Amino acid sequence: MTAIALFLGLGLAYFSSNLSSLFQKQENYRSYLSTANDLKTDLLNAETGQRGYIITQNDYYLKPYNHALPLIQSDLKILDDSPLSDSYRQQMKQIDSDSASKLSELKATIDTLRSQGQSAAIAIVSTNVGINDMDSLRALIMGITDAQNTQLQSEIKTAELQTDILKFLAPVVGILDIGLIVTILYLTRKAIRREQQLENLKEQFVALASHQLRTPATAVKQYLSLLISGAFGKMKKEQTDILKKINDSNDRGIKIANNLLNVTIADSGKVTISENPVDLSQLLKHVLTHYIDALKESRSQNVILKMPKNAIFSRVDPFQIRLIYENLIENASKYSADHKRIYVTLQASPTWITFSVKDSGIGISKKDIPLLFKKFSRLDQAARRAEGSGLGLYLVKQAAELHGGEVNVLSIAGKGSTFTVRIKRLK
Amino acid sequence: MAKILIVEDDKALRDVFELIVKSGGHNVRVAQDGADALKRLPKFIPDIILLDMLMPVKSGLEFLQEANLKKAYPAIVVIILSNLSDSQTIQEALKLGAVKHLIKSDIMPDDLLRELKIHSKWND
Repeated sequence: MTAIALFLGLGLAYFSSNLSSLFQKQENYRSYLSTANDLKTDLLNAETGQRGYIITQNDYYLKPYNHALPLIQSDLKILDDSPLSDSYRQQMKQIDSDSASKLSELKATIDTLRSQGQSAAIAIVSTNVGINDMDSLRALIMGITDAQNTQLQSEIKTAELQTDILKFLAPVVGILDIGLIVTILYLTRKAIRREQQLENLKEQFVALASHQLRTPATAVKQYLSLLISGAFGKMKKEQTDILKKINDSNDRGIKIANNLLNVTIADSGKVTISENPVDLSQLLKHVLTHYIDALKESRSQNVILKMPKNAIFSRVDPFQIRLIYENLIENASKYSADHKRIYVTLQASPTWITFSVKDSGIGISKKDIPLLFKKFSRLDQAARRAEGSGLGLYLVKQAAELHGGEVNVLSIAGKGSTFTVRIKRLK
Repeated sequence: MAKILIVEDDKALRDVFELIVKSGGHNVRVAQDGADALKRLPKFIPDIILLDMLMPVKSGLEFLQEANLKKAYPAIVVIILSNLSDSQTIQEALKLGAVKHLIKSDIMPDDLLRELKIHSKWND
C-alpha cells in the first residue's frame, strides 16, 4: 500500500506540475495571438493614416499613422521575444521584413507627397508594392494565428484531460495517504509497544538474574555468619579472619547483583510511592543499626546522628530511600580514614526532607564533581582508595529525582565532603 | 519457644534459616513453596511465618491471598524474608497482613533471632 500511495502521490505531483506548465503555455499562446492581432490592426491604422493624408493632404489625417508607428515596433518586439518554436521564428523573420518594407513604403509616399506633390505620391501607391506587402503580412499573421490557435485548443484539451485525471487522482491519493498515515501510526505504536515489551523483558531478566545470583550468595553469607559467630565452635583468629574476608567478597557480590537490579529499576523511572506515610527517621535508625556497630568494629569510625525526636513521615518508595541512606553512609566510610567521624543529619520542613552525610575523607576536586553522579563513573583517587561499581551515586541521584528532589555535594579535596539529598515531602 | 514456619524454595537457605531459628530454641517446620505451606497450615499452626516471596508453584503473595490469614489464623505473624526489591509486591504483602519485611542478604543470624523474639508471644 505504501508503494501504491507513493506511486500515485508522485503521479499527482507530476500532473500538478505538468498542468501548471500547460497553463503557462496557454497563457503564452493567448498573449501571442493577441499581439499578432494588435500588429495587424496597427499596420492597418498606419496604412489608413497614410491614405487619408495622400487624399486630403491634411496633416490631421496622419494621426493614426503617427500613433501606430511606435505600437507596431512594440508589437514586433513582443512577438520576436515570445518563447516559440523555430518554425514560427522563421515566419516571424518574414513578418519583421515585410513590416519594415510596408512601413518604408508608407514613409516614402508621405515624404514624396511633401516634396513632390500628390501625383508623385499616388504614383508610388499605384505600384502596388504596399498592397502586396500588406497582403503578405495579413496572410502570414493569419497563418501564424490559425496555427497558434490550433495549438492553443490542443493544449486546452490536454489540460482538461489532465485536470480530469487530477480530479480522480486527488481523492484516491487522499484516501491512500490517510491509509498510509494510519498504517505508519499503527506500525509506530506497534514498535513502541514492542520496545516496551523488550524493556519489561529486560527488567524481568535482570530481576531474575539478580535474584538467582543473590540466593546462593545469601546462603553462603548466612552459613559464614554462623561460623564466624562461633555457633559451631570457637575458631582460631586466623580462621575467623579468612572467613571474614570470604564474607566481605561475598557481600560485594550481593551488592553488585543488587545494584544491577537497582539501576534497571531506576532507569525505567518506575517508582512505587507507598500509600501510607513511612517514618523516615525510623527507617534511618534501622539502617544505622547495622552500620554503627559494623563501622566501629572494622574501621573504628563513629557515626554521629542528628535528627529531630519526632517521627518524620512522608509517602516514599522505601527501597529508594534506603538506597540513598546506604550509599551515602557507605561512601563516607569508604573514603574516610580509620578513627574518623561521619555526621548523618535528617531534617524536615512541611514540604521538604533533607538528608545529609558529612565526612572528613579524601574529598573531591572541583573538576571531578560533574563526573560524580554519572553511571559507572569512578574517579581515579576513589578507585585507588576503595572498590566500587561506580553506580552508588548514580542510584542516589536517580532515587532523589524520582522523589521530586535532588542531590548536591560540597567538597574540598583532602578535607572531606558533604552530600545532601533533598526530597519532596508527600503527606 | 515459638512455633516457626519457614517458607523458602532454596534448599541451602531453607536449611541455614532452619539452623539459625532452631539455635534460638524454637520449634521449626519448613515448607518449600507457598503451596506446600498451605498444605502444612492446618496441621502445624505457627506463631510466626518467615515467608519468601519469589517461589515456584505458589509465590509468597499467592500464599497470603489464598491462606486468608487475617480471618482464618489472625494470631499468626507473617514476616517477609526476601531479597525482593520490588516495592509494589512488598507493599501488597504488607496489605495482606505481613507485619515486616526483612532482607535475606542483609539480616544477620542474631538480628533474625531478635526479630523473632520481638514478634513472638513467647518473648518473656
